[in-house]
Amino acid sequence: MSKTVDLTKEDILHIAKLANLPISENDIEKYQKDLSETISYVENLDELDISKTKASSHTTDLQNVYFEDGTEETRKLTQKQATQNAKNIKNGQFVVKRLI
Amino acid sequence: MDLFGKTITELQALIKDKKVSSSEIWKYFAQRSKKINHDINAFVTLLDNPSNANVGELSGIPLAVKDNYCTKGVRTTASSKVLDDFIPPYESTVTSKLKLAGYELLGKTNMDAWAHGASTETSDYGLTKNPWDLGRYPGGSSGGSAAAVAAYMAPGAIGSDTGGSIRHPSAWCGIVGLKPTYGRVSRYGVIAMGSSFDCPGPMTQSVEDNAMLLQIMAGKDQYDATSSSDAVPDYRSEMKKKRKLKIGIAREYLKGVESDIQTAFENMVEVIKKMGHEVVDVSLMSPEYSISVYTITQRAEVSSNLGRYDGIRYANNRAYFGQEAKRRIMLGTYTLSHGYYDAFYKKAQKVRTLIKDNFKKTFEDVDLIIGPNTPVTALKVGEFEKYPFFGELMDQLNEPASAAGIPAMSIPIGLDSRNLPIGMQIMGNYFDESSIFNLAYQIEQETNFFDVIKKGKEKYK
Repeated sequence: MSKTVDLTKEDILHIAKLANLPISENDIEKYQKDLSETISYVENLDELDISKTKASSHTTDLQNVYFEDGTEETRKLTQKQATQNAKNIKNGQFVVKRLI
Repeated sequence: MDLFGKTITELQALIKDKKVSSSEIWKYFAQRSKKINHDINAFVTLLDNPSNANVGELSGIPLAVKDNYCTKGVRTTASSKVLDDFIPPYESTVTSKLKLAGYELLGKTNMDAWAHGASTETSDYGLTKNPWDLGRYPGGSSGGSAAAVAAYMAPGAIGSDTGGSIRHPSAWCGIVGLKPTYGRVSRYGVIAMGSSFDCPGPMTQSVEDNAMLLQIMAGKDQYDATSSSDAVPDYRSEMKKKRKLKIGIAREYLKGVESDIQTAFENMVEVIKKMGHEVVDVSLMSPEYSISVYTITQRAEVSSNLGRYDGIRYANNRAYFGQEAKRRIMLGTYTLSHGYYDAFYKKAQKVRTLIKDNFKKTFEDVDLIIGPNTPVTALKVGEFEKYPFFGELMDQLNEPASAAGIPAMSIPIGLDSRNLPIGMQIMGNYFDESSIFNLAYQIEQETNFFDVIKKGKEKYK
């Protein structure tokens, strides 16, 4: 596959930071190669004329979908259910890192 | 009573006539799946006992469900260690509907982690093996569901298809698999991957079973705003209508396809003509553009959907993501990041419009479009490495229908020289699953799918 885009090590580290993904130093080179290859592949879209085309937002062209008031109670979870899968809870609440 | 090889429809009849009890059926499949799973690894979780008290059309029918459907109280992992001990506190709409109809959950099937891939190799719970040849991939991402049906560990299964994840393993394992129209079946409670593509669908041994399951699964759901309120037709009666159809073949889809697959396909086309259907050439956009549209938009949606796994409210933290998930999250993060949105995401969504328009225009002239389903038959384990960009290349013939949101089915049309199943894809117009069922059923009546499904099961008699 021809490669026209080259992501740098800094690019990969920046993306991983944005995505909050821990990645190991050893994998960086592989990600550089794989991501550059994929981004180069999708450049084939430039062959098409889309100057007058509207972007799709949805495949079956649905519009204005509303939720009826008062119907959502049926899927309400109890506090116990909502926290049952958490690794760290205190007094029935999620424990998060200190923000301030 | 020998239950071997019975379709869901046949099992329903046996139950109705009291020739077999629900508990006998459960015992039969529970034992079989447990035994065969040692070799095939189709299931991540197998249930010990039936538990559904509802009575309905599916009473006594055990089904295998892909492990990305939230099943209340039953571990759901999406084959990722991130969700290793996740017990959903609620039920997906699809499995709720199946439950109401009386089905029994037999087990949760293995898949590529997060449904990212076309091999099941990215599963954190080990590879699923192809029942036709244990040294080969079953395809994916619904590889566990496909293998479970092909080896008759379950009479039918539920999968999900984002860019071919039902059709691809159905082709490689030699069964009937349908990706319905986007929005025909609710996505609520299916672990989100590419939200504008994800389609839950049935994977079965027969067309009638497939139509029957879709009938139960389909319909508007208040919990999925993108589900359609269009009326759901009676698929089984639509399937049985005596119709002569006008069918298009796109030569663009035959490029680069293995010669055995080409031959089986041309043979199938001759059979279809002999059955009295009209076959014409149509011209579609090259699948290569769909690969790009799919790759950009799906990765973008993945990066957003997998953003919720923070390890705080449930599940393990982000260090548990495998390489493939990380690769996809990073690509999506990149294409959505500041300054790149127009160059990638917006451009892809524009080309997506072209793909949709291309199909819409083609369906003004034909009822259905047929073509090969995969460029090659099941690959040997390890060959993944040889193909950079593996999943997308394996799914290049599936992704156009995914990008457009139209329904498409894979049916078996023969075996190649290595005795591996070959699939054919039938694509239909938006919400016209009926015509797909109609043609597939006629082909099944005429050819019995060249005994592919039968031969696959016989290996595990």
